[in-house]
Amino acid sequence: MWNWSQRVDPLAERADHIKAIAAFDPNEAHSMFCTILLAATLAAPTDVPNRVEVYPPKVTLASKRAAVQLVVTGHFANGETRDLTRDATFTPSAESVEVRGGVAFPKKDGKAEIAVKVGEQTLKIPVEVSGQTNPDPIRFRTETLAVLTRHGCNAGSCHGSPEGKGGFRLSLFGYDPLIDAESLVRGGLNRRVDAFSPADSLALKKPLMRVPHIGGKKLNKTDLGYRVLLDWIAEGAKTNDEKQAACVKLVVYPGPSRILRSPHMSQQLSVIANFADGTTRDVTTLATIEVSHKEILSVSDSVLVTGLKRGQGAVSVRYLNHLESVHFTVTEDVPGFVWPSLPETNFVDQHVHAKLKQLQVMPSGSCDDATFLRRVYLDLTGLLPPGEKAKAFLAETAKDKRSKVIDELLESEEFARYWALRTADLLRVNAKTLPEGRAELFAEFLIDGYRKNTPFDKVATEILTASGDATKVPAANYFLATPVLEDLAETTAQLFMGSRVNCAKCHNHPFENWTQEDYYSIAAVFVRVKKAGKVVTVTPTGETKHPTSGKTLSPFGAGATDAKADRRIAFAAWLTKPGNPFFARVEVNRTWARLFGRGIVHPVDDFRSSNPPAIPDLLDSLAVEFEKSGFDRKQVVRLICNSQTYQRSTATNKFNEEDEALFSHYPIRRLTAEQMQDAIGYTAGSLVPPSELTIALAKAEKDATAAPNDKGKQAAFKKLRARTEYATQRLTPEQSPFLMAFGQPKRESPCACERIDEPTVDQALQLLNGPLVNGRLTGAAGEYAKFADAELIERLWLAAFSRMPTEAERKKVAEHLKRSENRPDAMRDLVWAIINTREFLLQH
Amino acid sequence: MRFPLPSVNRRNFLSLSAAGLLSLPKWQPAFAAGKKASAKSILVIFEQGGVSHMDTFDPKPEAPAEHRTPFETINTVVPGMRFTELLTRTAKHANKLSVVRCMTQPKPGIGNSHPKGSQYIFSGESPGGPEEMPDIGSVVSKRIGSEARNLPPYIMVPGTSEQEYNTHVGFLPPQHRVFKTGGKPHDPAWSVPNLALAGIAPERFKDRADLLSNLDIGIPGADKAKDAKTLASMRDQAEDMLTNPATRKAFDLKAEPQKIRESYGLGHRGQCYLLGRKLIESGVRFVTIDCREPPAKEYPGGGNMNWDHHDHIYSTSDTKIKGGGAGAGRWGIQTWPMMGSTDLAFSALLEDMGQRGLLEETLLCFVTEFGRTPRINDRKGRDHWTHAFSFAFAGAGVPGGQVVGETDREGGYIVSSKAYTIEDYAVTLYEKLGIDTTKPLHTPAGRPIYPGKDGHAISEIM
Repeated sequence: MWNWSQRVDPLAERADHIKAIAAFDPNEAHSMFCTILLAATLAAPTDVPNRVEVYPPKVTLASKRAAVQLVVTGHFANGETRDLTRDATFTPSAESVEVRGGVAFPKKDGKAEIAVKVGEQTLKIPVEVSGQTNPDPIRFRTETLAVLTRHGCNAGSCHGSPEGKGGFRLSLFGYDPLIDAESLVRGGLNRRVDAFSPADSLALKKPLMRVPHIGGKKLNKTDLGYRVLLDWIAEGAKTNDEKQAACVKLVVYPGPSRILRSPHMSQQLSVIANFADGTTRDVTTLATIEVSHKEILSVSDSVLVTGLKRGQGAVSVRYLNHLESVHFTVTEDVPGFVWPSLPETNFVDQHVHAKLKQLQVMPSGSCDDATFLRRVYLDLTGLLPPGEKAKAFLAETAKDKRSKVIDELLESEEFARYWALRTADLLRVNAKTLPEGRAELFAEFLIDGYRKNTPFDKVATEILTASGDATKVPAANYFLATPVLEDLAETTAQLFMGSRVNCAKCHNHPFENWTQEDYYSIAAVFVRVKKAGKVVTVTPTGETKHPTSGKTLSPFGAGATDAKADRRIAFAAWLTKPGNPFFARVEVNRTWARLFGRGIVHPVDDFRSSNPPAIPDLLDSLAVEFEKSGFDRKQVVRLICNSQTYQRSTATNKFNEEDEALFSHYPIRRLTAEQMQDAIGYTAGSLVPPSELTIALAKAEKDATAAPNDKGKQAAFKKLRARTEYATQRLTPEQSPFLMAFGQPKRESPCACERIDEPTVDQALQLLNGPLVNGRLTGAAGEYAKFADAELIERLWLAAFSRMPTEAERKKVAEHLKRSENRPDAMRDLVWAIINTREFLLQH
Repeated sequence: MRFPLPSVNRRNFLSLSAAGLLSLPKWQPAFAAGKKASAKSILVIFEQGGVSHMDTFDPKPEAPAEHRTPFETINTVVPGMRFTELLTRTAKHANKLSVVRCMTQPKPGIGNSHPKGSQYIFSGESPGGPEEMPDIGSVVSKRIGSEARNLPPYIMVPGTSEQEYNTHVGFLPPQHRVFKTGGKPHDPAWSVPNLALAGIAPERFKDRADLLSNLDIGIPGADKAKDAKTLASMRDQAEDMLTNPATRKAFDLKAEPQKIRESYGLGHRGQCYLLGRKLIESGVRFVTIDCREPPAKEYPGGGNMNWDHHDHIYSTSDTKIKGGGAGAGRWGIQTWPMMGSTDLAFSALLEDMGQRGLLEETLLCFVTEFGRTPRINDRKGRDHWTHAFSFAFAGAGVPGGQVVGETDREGGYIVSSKAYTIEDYAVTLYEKLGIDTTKPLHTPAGRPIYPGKDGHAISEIM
């Protein structure tokens, strides 16, 4: 069973380790030690730890093949911890045990102690050796398969692919031992294992490249894996160990996070598997280790992690179906870096600054008013600020003018519509999937949620538990947009739990703890949802089964007390309960990503321990704040937009120019498809700003009411009300070639990755020469015809850039207009040039 | 069990027993990274609908009379290599061709429809996997890009017929999507949309661009930001595409000497093939021709002239018969809009590319999604047949005058020891271009995808 409590509180996990550690405490130690310690401290104050600990605190070696990695940690006066395993000497008190390279190996049955000496400090670890005369054959499920994973044999690109490779198929990362047993022992005309001459088994000759192997050399005779496979074959290649206790938990020490500070850049890991029968086993060298950022961290065969440069990364440890990660922060002193005293608006800045200070990254200064106004308008409403608004804002002197704009925009209809649009992207709200006006109905429901600022737990619960006629119950369309049960499980997990579980449909997830059992347990929540035409109902029966074991699975999260109750209700209650590890974190992270173009966890729907948040405390605090506010989405936006972090300049300094993930400067990014289309429309004068839209709408409504039989007036009102002219404000997307070129999502999946943000040649062709731009330019000449040069240029600059033109710009434009014989064409050329500048095309 | 001779290892033991001493194995991994490319570009002629192999590249004069092709088997310029008379002109270039008669779809059914079969050819992977696979051309674009900056790396001519929805960019970014020329290249009024300046003269565009560079003062940090840098470079490239005379030239069929145009045939097919050659010559990495003669008054009843001859395959005009089915809308296989124009255009292409030296570094492929039944059905037609069909290859080091594989007396099943799949065809293309198929692409969700993972290159043409 997937244990989410491990994620909720990684600190509790660490507390477990700490309790288990035999701590060397100078206060309790012999007085002689204290004297020595004092002397050492005087000699080299920073290099002598004031406390040393050894993990594990007690060594049990219960088989001939047992080995236990020792990890020695020093705690220093300045609060740092440092791996001292390679600085320690290990001296066993008896012959029953020996230590080589920090690893304890058994020699014969008996009890002993290992004296671990670091500098002048010595710590004694009890050792118990047993079972040295008992046979202990290699276990197929917990050793052979682990070796196949560690050496990459059952990876997706090799024999773990669905068809296998070269006629030899294994299950991906050993998720199905029966397939592997059959394939290894019986497959390949029985030549893969040869019990009479084990070393001649094909399963060994191939990876050793003693015979040609397309996959190349994967094994050395000196590897532990070779020994395991050879012995397993020699012992008869037994695969009938299904009754042996299974691994229930993996403990990686140290965890869950560690800081490496130059010059002390390495950390030995220990990996211990806990089995269902209560036994434990050190699997440090059987487990498979991967790092998330190879430029920041490297890891050796003996699982020594080394920091390579400043930054953050995760080391993931996989053993059978278990995966645990340790998050590393690598720091080093940057010459000339001095942390200044910086203003902090709220806890957002405190957490960001703490991380920046730790990694010695200097944040940029604040952006100017014009940049802020354009930024916040685009982020909150999708639209450029109206020119007059920009002019007034620049002139305003009130100190809290930025906060006031944020509050004003949060209350606007445009905010509700634009933010609902981004949510609707993920819910497949398109007219093809939801015809007969249901896409519009669902979209209107989502807009209303933002408009009224409905608590997000309520919105989510309404969606996840909706039943009834989808032409009347908007949220029921969630179930009609995702008609297949598996899809519903995946979509729900991705949307509300930020997890991409789809891999677990066919095999256990390769980089996460998501198993097939979890997958079909999520499906069990929805298995009783039935759809007849446009009506969603829930039946009292229906179960899902594990695809290989056939076990009936209970619904994920929390089971209902009544077996016949709608399981979705219990699930939604579990999901939205404060403290749930996913719900609040995922939503605040999405909000953050909409404001910065990048999540604290990135990508936004890929929460997993091997993909840690850039600033964990920031994510946690935002989530807590979100829960405390009663899931008030506007409050989170308000907090972030008011922070110094959101209001930073895009300009970088020499201490942050490399930073792309820590929000030390505002990230420059291309306008989204919808922002782009509307910005061009507004700048060319063909879209009125929403402030005028309200007036126009009131007028159109009045006209329409006065003339109920005038089809033209009715249509004009309807069009204005539905805001069909505005890509950022429409109920359902237009999906024009222009918008598609700019990566507007098709709304066919719950993945935020469906929206493409990168600039492409296609987009450039659209901007330089496309029909939409050409159409807008045609109108532009008429719109601006009535203005003389000086006013024309000011209006254009305020519309496009929310700032006044510089003297140089005024001069350039005046020259351009003077040179031309055809003023309308000259104005079109000018607008064309403006909308192709980087200042226009980029959010900055 | 153990083998009796310890000095003979397993692989060469098997080889010895199977094929004698000549085929001792290579010891290098088959897809060693950094393998040298033998092709710079690829031109695929996709004749869609399922070309009857027995009537073209794999003649079966010994088949039972009632099912036999009515066309004579003829000699080509290569002794022992024989086609049917429908390929009389192509036969003169057999010395440039490797004909692979043992193509097959390994999972019958998956690609046995035109949409799926076409997708299979475009992507080189059997459709319906967990991820929608991009076209081979899109993968090539992603992996090695193009040398002609002013042209898209993957172009389809015209690519707007029946199966246009079966091209996919899949999980790759949109810039790798196929660029379709659309329209009727043989029509004098034809031009390529989006690649020509719309309604403004080149001089004015240049003035605009000057004004833009004058006003584009940038924003703080733009020189460091990835999006800002990409945007600027994409804009430069797009400007180049729009203004570079080479772009227009690449598509300008009228600039070709009339003699050359006529040699390909002045109809739709001939001019599409010729455009293919021009694009390759202009440096486009991957070109696919997917054309068919459009409906025209000289071909009454020819509403959809692909190769899907379910009815009346040997009709001298249209294929509509009483009680017929899905086969209506074509013309008989031997008629001009079908194999007549194909034989002319393909032979002209081989001749022209050969003379221009383009076959040195271009792999030319003639492919179709499947073959047709060896037996004639009760509507005088032939239905879909995925068990065996023929592809032809030329250029980029492909040996000329070679036949690979063999089918039975009727052309129904492969009897040679070798058979090749569409996956193998895809790997052949990748390896010809020097693309390392052991390196994965990644979906936005991070899943590693190995294009060509289920195939091996067609060794006889490598």
